[in-house]
Amino acid sequence: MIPGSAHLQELTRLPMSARGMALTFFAALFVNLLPWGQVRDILQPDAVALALLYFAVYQPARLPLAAAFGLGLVMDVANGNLLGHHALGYVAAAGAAMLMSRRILQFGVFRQALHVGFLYAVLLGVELLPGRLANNAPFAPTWWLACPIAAVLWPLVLSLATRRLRRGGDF
Amino acid sequence: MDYQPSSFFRRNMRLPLRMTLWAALSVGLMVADARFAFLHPVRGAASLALRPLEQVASAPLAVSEAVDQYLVGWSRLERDNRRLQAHERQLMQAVATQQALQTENANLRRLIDARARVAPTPISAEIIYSSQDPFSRKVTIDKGSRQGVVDGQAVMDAVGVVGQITRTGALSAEVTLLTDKSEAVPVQVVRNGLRAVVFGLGRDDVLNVPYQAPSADVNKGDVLVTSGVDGIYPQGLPVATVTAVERNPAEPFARIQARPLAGVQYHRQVLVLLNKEKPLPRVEPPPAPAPVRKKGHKK
Repeated sequence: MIPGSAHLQELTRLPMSARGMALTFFAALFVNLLPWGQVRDILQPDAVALALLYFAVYQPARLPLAAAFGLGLVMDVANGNLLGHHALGYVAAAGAAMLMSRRILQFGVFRQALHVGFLYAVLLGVELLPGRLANNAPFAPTWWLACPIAAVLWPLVLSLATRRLRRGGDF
Repeated sequence: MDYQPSSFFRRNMRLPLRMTLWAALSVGLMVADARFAFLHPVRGAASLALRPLEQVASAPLAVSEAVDQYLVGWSRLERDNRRLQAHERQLMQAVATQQALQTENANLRRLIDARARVAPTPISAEIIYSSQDPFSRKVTIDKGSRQGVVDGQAVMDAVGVVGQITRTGALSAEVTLLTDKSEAVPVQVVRNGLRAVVFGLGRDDVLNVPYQAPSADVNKGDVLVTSGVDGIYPQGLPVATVTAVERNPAEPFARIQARPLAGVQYHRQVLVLLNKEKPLPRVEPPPAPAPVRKKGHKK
């Protein structure tokens, strides 16, 4: 289930079309809008953020930052945040992932997952500030728990991505 | 091997710049959204576009609930039926008394020339999305301005107040829950009519009742209902029960905590009270008194 490093190398060489990316983001958005209820307060599995991080690391040249910005705005509308709150976090995390892309791709799945945990911390850290300023809410102690969870989910993301290889290319 | 250092470096050099630009745009948007109203129609249109996706995403839950209801056993239906019939008898009795009291109350109010009270019409709505953001407690419901929902209306479940409409789209609306940090509800203690204000704390199941003197007559177990003095919530809706009162004479105020009566984060069906009553006119503060000259203090 967990893809080997040879598969991962192959992933970087197989560019994804804009249509494929758009479909992936649409699916991730759908996952985010599912009625998660109480589970989300603790686990916060932000599928859109994970998809963004995947494309930023594996296809840094093909992912426009505008996509990160636009998806952030959509999440802001859905959540009723200030417009730009998630957009800022997504832009920061996707940008950081693009900058670190070459470095991250050297590693195997598990070390990559550690890096993804760090990138998710960038996302949460950037989102924390406006959240605190706009609505002086108490700090949720489970806030940073999302980092290890993102790291744990990374092999799953990659195994989903390598399915594309078996089908031999794009959607 | 084709090795193209120039394009690779160029791309990476430009990335921080692009990041800064997009980040600056985000910050600008946040400021604009917080300060000015011109982004509201944009948000309204976007939420309308997002609506079908939200609806489809909440479909699995609706289907599972429907299947659940279909599969309940005969005995349970029978039991429920008997329980509900008993409950209905009790309610009918209460309604009969209430009708008499209402007429009497209306007459008395007319006698003392008080404003007539308009009973709000409730419409039922379904929660289609609950916010992912740990900083705010908000849910989205499937009724909007087309159905007569307006900002400020109260939202209840069968037991008590859940929150308040804070943003209205054409077909959906956003409800800020009682437990949100920015939510405040003026209340009265049922037992003695003491007025107070209940604030959300941003945590589930806990509300704060600040600014009550240590000697205030509030006890554990007291029920708080809306007082209606804000002109937003109709009077007399159950809000919370007091769970803890801590009186320390050394402090200026007692520390009072309450728990919302309504299952603020458990239900899917809620009632929106379409309040036809016009909000109370805003009271202008009296003009500041003219500065007193020091001469006047001489004796």
